Amino acid sequence: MQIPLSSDVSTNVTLANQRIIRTPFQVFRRRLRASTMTLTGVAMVLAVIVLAIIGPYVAPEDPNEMNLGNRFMAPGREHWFGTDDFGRDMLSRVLHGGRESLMVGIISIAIALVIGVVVGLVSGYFGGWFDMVVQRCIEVMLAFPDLLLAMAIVSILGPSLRNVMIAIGIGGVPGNARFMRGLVLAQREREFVDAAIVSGAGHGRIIFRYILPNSISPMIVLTFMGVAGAILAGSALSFIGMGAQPPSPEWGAMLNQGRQYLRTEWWIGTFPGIVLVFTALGFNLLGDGLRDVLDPSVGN
Amino acid sequence: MTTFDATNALAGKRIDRRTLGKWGAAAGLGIGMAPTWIASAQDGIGGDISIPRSGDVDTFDPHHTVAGLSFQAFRHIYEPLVSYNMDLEYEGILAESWEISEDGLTYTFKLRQGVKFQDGTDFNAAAVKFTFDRVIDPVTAAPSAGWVSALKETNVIDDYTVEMVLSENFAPFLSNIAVEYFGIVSPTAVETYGEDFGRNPVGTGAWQLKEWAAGERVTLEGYADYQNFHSYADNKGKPLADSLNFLNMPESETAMAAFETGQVNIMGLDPNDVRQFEDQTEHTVYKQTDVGSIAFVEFATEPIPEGESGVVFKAPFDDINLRQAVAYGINADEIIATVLEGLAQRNYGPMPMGLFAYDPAIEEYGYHFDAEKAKSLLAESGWEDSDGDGVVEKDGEKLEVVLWTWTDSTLERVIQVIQYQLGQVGIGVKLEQQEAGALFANLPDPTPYNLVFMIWGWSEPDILYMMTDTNWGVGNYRDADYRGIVTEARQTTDFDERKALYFQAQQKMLADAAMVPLWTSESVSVVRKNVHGYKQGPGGSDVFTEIWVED
Repeated sequence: MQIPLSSDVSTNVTLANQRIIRTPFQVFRRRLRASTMTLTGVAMVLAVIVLAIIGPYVAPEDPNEMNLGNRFMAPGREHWFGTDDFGRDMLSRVLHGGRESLMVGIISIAIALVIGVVVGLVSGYFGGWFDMVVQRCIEVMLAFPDLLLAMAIVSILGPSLRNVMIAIGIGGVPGNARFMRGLVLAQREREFVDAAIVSGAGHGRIIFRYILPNSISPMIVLTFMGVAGAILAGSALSFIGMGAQPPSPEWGAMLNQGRQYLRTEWWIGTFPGIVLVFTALGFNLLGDGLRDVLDPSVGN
Repeated sequence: MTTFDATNALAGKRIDRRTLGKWGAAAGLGIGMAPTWIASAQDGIGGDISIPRSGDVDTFDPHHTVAGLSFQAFRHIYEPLVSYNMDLEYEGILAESWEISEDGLTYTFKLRQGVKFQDGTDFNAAAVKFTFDRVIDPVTAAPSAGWVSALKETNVIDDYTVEMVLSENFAPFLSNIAVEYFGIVSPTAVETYGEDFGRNPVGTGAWQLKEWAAGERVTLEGYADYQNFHSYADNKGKPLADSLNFLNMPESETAMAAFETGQVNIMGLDPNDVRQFEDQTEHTVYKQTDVGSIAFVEFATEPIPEGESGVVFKAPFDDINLRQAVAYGINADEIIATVLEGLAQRNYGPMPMGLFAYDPAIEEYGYHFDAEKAKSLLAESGWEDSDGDGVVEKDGEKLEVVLWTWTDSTLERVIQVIQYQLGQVGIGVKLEQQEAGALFANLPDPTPYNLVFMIWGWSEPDILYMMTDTNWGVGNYRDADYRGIVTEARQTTDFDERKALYFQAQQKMLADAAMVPLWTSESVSVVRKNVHGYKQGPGGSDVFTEIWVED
């Protein structure tokens, strides 16, 4: 009796295992589908990306064309989003601005990712006094609020959208480097690293062939979650005049322009505000969703 | 020859659109309300006058600053010897009368008797001598000293007679000292407080300093023994209101919200905000021409060694065709009608419209907007748009220039339109705004910029001399003919002769396209209905002594 019973159990276990074990991608897809929030985020981000790509082609007018006879026209048939204080078509400006905001988000995050990963890898892998020095520098940088650090960098480099990307990128480096270092420390002691060392692999090969691939995915998620923040930071800098320069239709700059008319011509500030909120919300939902999906410690 | 520090003059008198109390002194009548203070001068009058401003006072010492924001506060504490009546003729304030010698070199002032400073010190000839000696003493390093550079010495004749001796004939002298920068200070207070006089100002004016919370507010209170000698004043004594407050509110939205709740009750408006105050049930709007002001675009220039003449415009504007292209390319009328909401008047020459030497006939010599003409001038000099990107190039180099001005929301809009208009004729313009202080510090080095949007204000036609006596832009325009004319003009006392000379000078400047004159602006103040007795004095300055505020 004992044996059939145990055999039954083992059969059950096998069945259960068959039901649970899936490829990571299948798990990912299943969790993704389960989360409406994440899907909403995906849809919103896709919408923004599509807009940024086709926006300039579908915009009805030149975004910088001033038509001073048509100032302050309320949203209507002729100008869906109204016109601003220079008689420029707001819809065309909002459509053109998407590309700039998205570019700030992506490029600055890419800068932060690349530099942060390299610094974190090298620092975590070699350790010792080198790690010590790098980490103290990072702590100094972390002591500054992100936006303040970015403002300081822009004021040194001069106000322009390109410098804003550099500033936000540099501002994101210390956090990324610190995070990456933690991941590297966890990997460095693993057996496959010992095995690589024994088999005579050089530092470069160990870092990039073994440690990097095994620690990069949490890094990617972290980065994705930062896009919304970077877009908002870029807009904030443009809002205070340190980023996009006139006549650029950057959303933050347009928000600042519209701020002066909120009591009378609400549409000048409202539409750039709405698209900015939409974009940030989309990236945030997507980032949160990705974390839930990829983090095994968060329920199933 | 005089060395006039016009940088400081500019900083002191530049038009700050967000602030009240601009001082101008020429054409234009003050608009006054009925003197309600008479009817209600018994009980219940008082209250607090509160005015929002974009920044703070740096010092109350009139001899240590030319900042407009400081002037607007300390002009209520001190009084000059002479000032203007409503017809913009000179009238005695602390001086009862004065005489100018035949040769124009000696000014003799008879002073008022029985006037006391706010600290009880007697006002007399010694105080006047003390004040002017302090101004011209190199130790004081008064930035306004250049405005009286011809003043050689001040002599006490008797207790109430003082004589000022000039080293050369200097027509703008009386006008230049008719301003509170040359207000008479209490010698006792200056000696008592020394360096701290700037925090403990004592003059003979209607208001005295009660409290200065730096960066926040300035509170002045009425001077009990004040005697008002202005002919336009109905109240000849102490101000009616309990206090006069200047509040720091750099954001115009904050100021407007404070105005709505009554936290502030008198406010200067940006042209842009005027539309929001069209319904005048809760307040009254006052408009006034900034009589002594001229807005213009100037070109970067290399400095000219002291004493030499000529002018070196920085490339590419060393080519007069390019300077003229800018002059033809800017449509000033369009800017006035739109972003300035009509609150300016087109001025084709550099002479401010409110000054006596202004002559509308200058229009004939000015530049009238003509985009095609601008393009053809560029083409004539070899600048053409061959790659179709809208910006002209020559020898493979694009015509892209940098325009500077100071941080100000109205100017921000103005320069964006200029950027667009010049872009239409093929000149690519990059804009840069800096804090006023930083801008004036950076202007002497012409390397990083090509164009400057500038506003100058002064109450005397001598402005045409002063604006070519700085160390940047049109300040380095030291054309021998031009300098000869404006120098002769400041030494000429005859009205019509001076006017003719200034007309000649303007023609010369326009022919050289040394700068691009645009407009003389107007300013707007808005006053809440519970403020009684508000009126404007000569040149649109605010008169606060007759105001009382209902709770």
